[in-house]
Amino acid sequence: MSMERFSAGALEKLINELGRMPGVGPKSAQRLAYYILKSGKEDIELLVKAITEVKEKVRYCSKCFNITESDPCPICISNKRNKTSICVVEEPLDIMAIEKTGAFHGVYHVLMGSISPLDGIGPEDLKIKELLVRLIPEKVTEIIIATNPDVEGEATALFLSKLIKPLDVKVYRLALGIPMGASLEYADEVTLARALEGKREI
Amino acid sequence: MEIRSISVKNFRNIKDAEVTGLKRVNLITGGNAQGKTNFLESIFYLSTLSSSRMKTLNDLITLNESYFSLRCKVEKNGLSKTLEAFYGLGKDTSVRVNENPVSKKNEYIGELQIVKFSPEDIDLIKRSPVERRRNLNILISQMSRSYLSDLSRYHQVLAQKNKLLFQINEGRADRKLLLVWNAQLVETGTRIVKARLEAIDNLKDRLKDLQAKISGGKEDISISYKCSFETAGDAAANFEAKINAMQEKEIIRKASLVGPHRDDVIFILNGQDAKYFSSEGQQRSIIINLKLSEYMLMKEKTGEEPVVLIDDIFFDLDENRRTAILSVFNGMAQVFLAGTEDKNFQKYFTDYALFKIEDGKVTADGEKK
Repeated sequence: MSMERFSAGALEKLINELGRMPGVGPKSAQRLAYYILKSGKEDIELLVKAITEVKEKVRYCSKCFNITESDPCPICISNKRNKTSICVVEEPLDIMAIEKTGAFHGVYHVLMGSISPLDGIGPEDLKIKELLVRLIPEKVTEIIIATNPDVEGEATALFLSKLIKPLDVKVYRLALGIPMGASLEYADEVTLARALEGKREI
Repeated sequence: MEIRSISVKNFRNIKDAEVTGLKRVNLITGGNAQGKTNFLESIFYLSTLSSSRMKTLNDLITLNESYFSLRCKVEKNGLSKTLEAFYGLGKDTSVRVNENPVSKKNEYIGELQIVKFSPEDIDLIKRSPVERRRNLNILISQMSRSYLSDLSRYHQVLAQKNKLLFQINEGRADRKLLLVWNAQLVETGTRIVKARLEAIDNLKDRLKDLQAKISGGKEDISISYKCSFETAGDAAANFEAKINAMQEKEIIRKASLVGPHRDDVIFILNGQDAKYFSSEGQQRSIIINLKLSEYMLMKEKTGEEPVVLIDDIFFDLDENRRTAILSVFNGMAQVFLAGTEDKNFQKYFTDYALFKIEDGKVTADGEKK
């Protein structure tokens, strides 16, 4: 009886821990926990090892604050990268998204968030000073601000542009528009209006 | 546009109701506090995802229950759509159109267009500016999705800016930061004001005509939009200048003092502010005409007949007025009428469905032909 209760408790604990992860609801947490429970011992050991290693090996790049196993990160030390162009993002995951496109050949800078008074986050809580000190030594000529299009990301972009423009560096904002492969008919009016604002000559 | 069926669960005093057999005209009868208004409110929620009477949506849930859910079948341009709205305690909202979840409110609003006549609306002229803005927001949102999206963005920015004003007031943040929020307020706020000015402009003449007609030319009504900044010329620049001029005051008061969230709609009757210089009867008449104008505007803009909800007030009106109102709908719009009395009904409608509500239970009472 006591054994039974113990094992139920352990499973519950696992479900609870998994359920705290972003994007994992109670149902998914249960499914994952049962999967782990049914998996072989070796599989679980690999998973545990991977989790521990992530915590031990992965850290932030001291230059751009991307996640990396070596500091500076591979992007920052790559000589194939154009160091005079910096793309500014909110989170390291945003770098992965842009890297997948293969369309950007400059380097990055992660702010580690966006300005949000409601969350008590001001510019001093972001890696903005760290961005400014890169401008002169790296001879930066353009900054592309790729913060999210929400009100906090927009505020952060405005703040950065006011700060950087007087320094004789070109500041760009990521264009907003219609997703490729999407039909105009189904695009929401706001996106469509923004896309019209950002029209380009062909 | 026509609602074919409605089902209501745990909504106010309506535990479980399945209402079918709806017609062009539907009369909801029952004694006081039996659920007539709640039934109309369920349609209002399906349209606007908000409550016209409750402070919080939690108050819409039946006592001791944890959620409400509403569903209706709507026919529009010969196409049938199923709309579903769910709300659970703790702000757990979800809506679906034809079984597909819709994540953004502005992608949903407009699916079911309504115009509502109710006792609260009748008091609109006397009530606080927030109610008049709300009335305008509900009207424009149903016609323009970008309006609702601007409105929600505007309020997100406003919340951030107000928090920042508070932090500046306490010496915990730099006032230079206001700029990044003000710029966004100006961008979305100017669009909101433009849409409101256009709507008021569209309602103005219709309202004037209707009021002149009903009063035999004795009453001249005009409505105008009272904006917290100068709208003539470069509105955005004026808005920005006014915010900057008010900055000190905003910091002291820890509140944003300029923008569409401070604006109002003014009713001028025979040259005087109707808020102070009009009788109750005149106010009622103005609002009914305003609502009729809203109906006409919505119909013109969307090419659809909005569904009309009339709570109680109908039977308080005299016969001329009743006939005049109904002539605007001209048998084209679907009407839901709630009232305690139905003996006069056959005088106005030849073909309608009758529903009785007793203690939250809805029963169809056969079709009166």
